Amino acid sequence: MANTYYLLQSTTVGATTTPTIEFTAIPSTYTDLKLVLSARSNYATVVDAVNVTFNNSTSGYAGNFIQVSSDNSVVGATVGASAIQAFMIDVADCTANVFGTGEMYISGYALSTYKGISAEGGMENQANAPAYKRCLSGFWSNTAAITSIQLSLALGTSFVQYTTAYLYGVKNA
Amino acid sequence: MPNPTRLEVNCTTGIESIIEMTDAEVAQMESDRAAYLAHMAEEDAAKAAKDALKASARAKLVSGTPLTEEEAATLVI
Repeated sequence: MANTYYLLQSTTVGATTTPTIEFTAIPSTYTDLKLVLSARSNYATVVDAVNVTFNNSTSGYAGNFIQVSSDNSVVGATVGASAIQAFMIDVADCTANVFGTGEMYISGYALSTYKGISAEGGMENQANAPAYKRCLSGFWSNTAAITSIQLSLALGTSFVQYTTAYLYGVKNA
Repeated sequence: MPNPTRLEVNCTTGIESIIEMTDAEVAQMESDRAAYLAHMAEEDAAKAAKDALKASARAKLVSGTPLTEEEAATLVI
């Protein structure tokens, strides 16, 4: 059981906004990884989603999620094979300065086995649309050690300024 | 006009870099976005059709009109 967290790196989007945040050169010396995100997209309306990929790979992702929204709808669906669409985040027409949040746990990232993944996150749009919360579990069917993680937007062209991402290494001893 | 940039954080050195995306990366991003928009439109249409079926079933139930099998299915778990 993991019992120690180390902050590998964190980043905050500055005035030069970006559609992609990437953690590279992840050392293989930990047991698991944990990604923590506070993000907002420049997409115009309702909601955006954050796609997560590993090692710049666009294949081998699988899993299921349940998504609850404040208009009383509950949706269950599978994730696409090209990325883990993990988090729903706030967009331009949401309440000002509110960011969506999300956490992802990646087990055995440096092992030569498939990588188990769980994630949850949520956003609100009290101004114009429902709030969404998504809970997901899945895996990446690749035996390579994860050395980089890419975060990109499904719809928007930029993470806005003050979006933050933290990557932790987790050790089991 | 330059391509968008990506923010790269090296976990070994701690160095942050802002790197211009390649044309191929930009094309892939735009293709992914179009595919996701199409997928969302399909989901919205399916939800609207299901909602309409439910509303029709409810109205027929209240008025005592026979339901179609499809409408009845929306009321049965």
